[in-house]
Amino acid sequence: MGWLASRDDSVTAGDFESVLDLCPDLLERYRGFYGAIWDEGILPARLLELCRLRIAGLTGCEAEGVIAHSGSGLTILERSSLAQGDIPDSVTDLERSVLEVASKVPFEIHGVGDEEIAVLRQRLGDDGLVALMFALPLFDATCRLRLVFEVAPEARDVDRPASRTGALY
Amino acid sequence: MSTTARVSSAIPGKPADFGTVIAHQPELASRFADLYAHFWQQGRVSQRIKEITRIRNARITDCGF
Repeated sequence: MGWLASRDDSVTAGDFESVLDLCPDLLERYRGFYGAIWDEGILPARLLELCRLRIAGLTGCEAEGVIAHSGSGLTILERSSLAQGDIPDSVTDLERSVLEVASKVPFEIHGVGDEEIAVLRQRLGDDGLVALMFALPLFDATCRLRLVFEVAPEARDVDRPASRTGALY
Repeated sequence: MSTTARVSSAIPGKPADFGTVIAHQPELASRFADLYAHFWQQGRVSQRIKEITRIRNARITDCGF
């Protein structure tokens, strides 16, 4: 149960999109930004999904963690591992390098070192690294928004967590 | 944390700074700017409160930039 009434005051704004819809202009711009992360195909959906769930686990955001991007290719075991606060053994070397940086974003951002970034820059290119650095804080911010508004966890399998032209979960 | 840019400028002839680095992803940069500018331009929360929280957040995260 969230704290806020929905825009028409008839029901409590319980899901994330209806909470943000209390400021519809901001919602549309947030959807445009967050959706572009998923729509553009700049980074593999699997890599984004690993990071999203890693950050959800670290911030203790169950509402984010129970959303599953079904097309990302993560296995049930990998999701379970991330939900328990672990990095799955099955990830690739690149995915592990990205997850190690993602793990520092919520609470130890100053711990991200030059060497770690240099490795990601080499593997992803400047454009991929910039895309990743847009995505990671945005995943963190999304978890914090859900937590501060007490958005109720609702398990869903979704085509993608957000789209510029579709739903925002 | 490094105090020198870790990513190159995407704009030839311009030094690496926040704007020229995020220009490596123009679509994302544009949408980020749209959201952030709207946040500052819309008047539901006063500019004073937004500026206080922005500076407080920078202090808490030790972001000297």
